[in-house]
Amino acid sequence: MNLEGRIDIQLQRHGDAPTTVAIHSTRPQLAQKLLAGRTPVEAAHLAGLIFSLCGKAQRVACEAACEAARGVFPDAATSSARASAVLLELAQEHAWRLLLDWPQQQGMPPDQASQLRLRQSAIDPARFAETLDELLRTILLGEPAAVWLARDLAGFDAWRQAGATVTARLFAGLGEGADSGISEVDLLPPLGNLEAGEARELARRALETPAFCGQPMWHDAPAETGALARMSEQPLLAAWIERRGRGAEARLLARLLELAELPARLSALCSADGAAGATWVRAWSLGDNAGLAGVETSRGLLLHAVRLLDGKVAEYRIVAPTEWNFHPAGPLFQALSGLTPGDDLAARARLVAQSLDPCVAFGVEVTDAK
Amino acid sequence: MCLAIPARVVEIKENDQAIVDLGGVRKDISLALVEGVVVGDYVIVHVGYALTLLDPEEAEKTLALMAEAGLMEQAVGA
Repeated sequence: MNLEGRIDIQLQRHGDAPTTVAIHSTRPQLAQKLLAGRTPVEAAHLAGLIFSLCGKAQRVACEAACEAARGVFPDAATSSARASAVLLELAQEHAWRLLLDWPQQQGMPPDQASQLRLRQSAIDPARFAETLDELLRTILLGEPAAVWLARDLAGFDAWRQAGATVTARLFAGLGEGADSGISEVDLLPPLGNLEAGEARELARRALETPAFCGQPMWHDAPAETGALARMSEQPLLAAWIERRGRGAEARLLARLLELAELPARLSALCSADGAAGATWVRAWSLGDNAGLAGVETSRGLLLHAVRLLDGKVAEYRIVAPTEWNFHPAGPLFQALSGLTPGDDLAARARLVAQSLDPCVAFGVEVTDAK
Repeated sequence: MCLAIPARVVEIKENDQAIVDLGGVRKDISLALVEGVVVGDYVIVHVGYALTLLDPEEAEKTLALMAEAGLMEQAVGA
């Protein structure tokens, strides 16, 4: 038994018939255990300390949820500072996938130097935006982000075939056929589009039914969250999805598109009032000393719901993106159910699971039905 | 890795490689993404890379807190 839990994916082949898929998560729900009885200040500090992958997002979500529970909302400067902290973390996670993980999976050396430069620039949002912009121009895209973002599907295919950067060559290696690991599961709306009534309903279910946090539902059905859900209306991605399907490759493209947009978004945050931050961090007062906060992270929407009693945490629930994407009947389930049963099924299943990027280790086991 | 369990650096090898002690379990990791790490420092490890260099006092506090919440026995058993 591992403290962080893990995700086990079992695939059973039945000759030419569709593969049977079972997804089992042992991720523990730690929020109540760790945060109950703490003051909001202690809880926010702890949340940021304990969750390593998205520590900034966890800390911000905790601060915003506890404030909302008290009926307090941050000023514009605080909102902007929180949104940029969240964005810097999101960008570094996206970069990690593109600069380290993906090359390594394809037997190429990871670009640790670029990842380190990005990390080192994260002490200042303006410097980070400049560094990211330069990495996009030189290492990732090979041309200015604005030029690359204006490409249509044919332009994108020409870019990857020209192969001027490692990233372009990795995309070229995906081929031009249909996407793999296609899911038609609903997309969770981006945080900025979430209606107050919907947010309240999510919070109510999380607080009343702890099991909801382990297998969350959107309008009574599983849903996908992440860069793909946030970027699905971007013209190039929308064209890709329409032509090739919403699969593992669409998710990689969504990540690169979102990263390419981030320098401009960060600059907007630095100069604008607090309103621009609402795309990335939002909170709702629920009455009765309860509050909900939503934060967009690299892997998708992170929700914190809290109820305070006498100034301390009485109930605390976290709904993390991995629980949406690895729901036993959710996006991964559907994506894997559509894979053709072949000899390399385990490797293909791993790529699909990686495209949904779980925040814990996962394993794939393939068996044949007798 | 999702949880930030502080890992103590016990040996530094060539090419930015190091060995850490994570609740009694030894692991090989890379130091390519942090600078100035010495033996005895606490770091947060993420998929084989040391990410954050921790203040030793903060690291001890986090470990104590995880132990208090009954998390560390499970971690060591991993």
